[in-house]
Amino acid sequence: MIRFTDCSFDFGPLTIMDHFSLEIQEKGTTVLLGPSGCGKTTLLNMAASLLAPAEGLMERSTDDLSYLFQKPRLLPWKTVEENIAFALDEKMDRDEMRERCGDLIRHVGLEGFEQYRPSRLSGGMEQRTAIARAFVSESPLLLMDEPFKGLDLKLKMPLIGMLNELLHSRRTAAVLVTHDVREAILMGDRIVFLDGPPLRLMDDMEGIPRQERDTASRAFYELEKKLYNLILHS
Amino acid sequence: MKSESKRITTTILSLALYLGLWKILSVVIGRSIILPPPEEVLLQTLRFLSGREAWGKILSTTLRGLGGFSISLILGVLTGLAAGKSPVFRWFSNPFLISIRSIPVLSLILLAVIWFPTELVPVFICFLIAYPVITSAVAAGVAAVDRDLLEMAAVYRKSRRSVLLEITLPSLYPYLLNGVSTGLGLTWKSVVAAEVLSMPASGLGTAMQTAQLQLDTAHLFSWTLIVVLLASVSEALLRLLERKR
Repeated sequence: MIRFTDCSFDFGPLTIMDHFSLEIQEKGTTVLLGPSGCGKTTLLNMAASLLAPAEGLMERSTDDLSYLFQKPRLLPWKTVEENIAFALDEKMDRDEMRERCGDLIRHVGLEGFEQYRPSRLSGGMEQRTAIARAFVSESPLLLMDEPFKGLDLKLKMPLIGMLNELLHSRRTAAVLVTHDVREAILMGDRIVFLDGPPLRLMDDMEGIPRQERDTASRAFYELEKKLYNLILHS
Repeated sequence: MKSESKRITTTILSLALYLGLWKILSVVIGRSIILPPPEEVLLQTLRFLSGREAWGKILSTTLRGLGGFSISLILGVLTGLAAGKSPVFRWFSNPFLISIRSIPVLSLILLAVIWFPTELVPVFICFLIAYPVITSAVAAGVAAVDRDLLEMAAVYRKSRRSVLLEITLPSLYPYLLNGVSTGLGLTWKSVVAAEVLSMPASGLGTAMQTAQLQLDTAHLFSWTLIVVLLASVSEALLRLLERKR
């Protein structure tokens, strides 16, 4: 559970949050959908304790969390395997470390690239390494800040499928920040529609069931239409 | 490939031209004491290098240089890390670093001769000359560490030790290598200068000073050539380290 109570935050002269409150349950994927610059990334960084509210309170039920950033943020001097293991406790048993990393490398389809450095990987492969790193520590909570930005559709769709599968099979709760309506529908069990700055909660709705999340399905089409209307008339 | 062979040919031609000019000048002047011909210098150098005495001097000078340099490397990395992290430390140490950089090396050597035993003077001078270079390079490297990576490490609750070993040190490695390369180049120049003035029992600088006092110009040229070779060898070893990366 993440709870923001009356949180305020300024960035220079710009008020990003003015007594903003929101509660996010620790189950399924919550999407924070909103236009660029509305303050949603600030909210996410606050949830990760990378920022502290100037006023108000942020509470979180766990200290153990992972974060998938816009850029992969891999260590250039480490291999794929070492980068994934970076999220693990240094004191963990070597064999277990190996096993966990190997398992995730298989999941994200990077077999054969274990010993590659990031400079030899494509953008999609780098982000898959970052996804593996985000899951290896088995944190109960994953925060994601537009992790597919800059990737084309052909790279993005398999990544979304991969993430959904991993989140579901490992029962990881997640918060995804995005401005992309389709990403929001494909991943969201709950979609919170935001606007700002200062950050305002515009709407809060349930996503469509997992098995109907197909861009060709009727439920997808209807939710997409509803969200477009909301965005265009907000 | 074509431009590469062109480069090599041009370099060889340029060297040949200099050697030719040197030879012509030495013939025109006609006095070895003013300008010895290149073949005499080369022969003398080979003669030195085939004897044991020269190697003793080379070893003494190398050890002094490396000794002073090692101290500056260790202290430079430590204070460089501190300066990169804390602006207060940087402001505090800046006046000292700037003073050392702007004081003529010769003044430092002359003072060191008064303060220290002759054997220690070159070591102290090497340290003093290389230290500012190393510490500035390390501080610049620390300041340039990618903040995004540090934030990522914070999310995964990495220890300070792990952040230092796995992020800070690797990312300042290229800066450090650059500093070591510049610092080592300065080291060979300043160790010899310090030896010339402090005259320790054995050393290339001492040999140069003796040759100059005896007006043995060919010897002076040869010792100089040996110092240049020494600096080239250390630079080549560093390049090897760089490529291994």
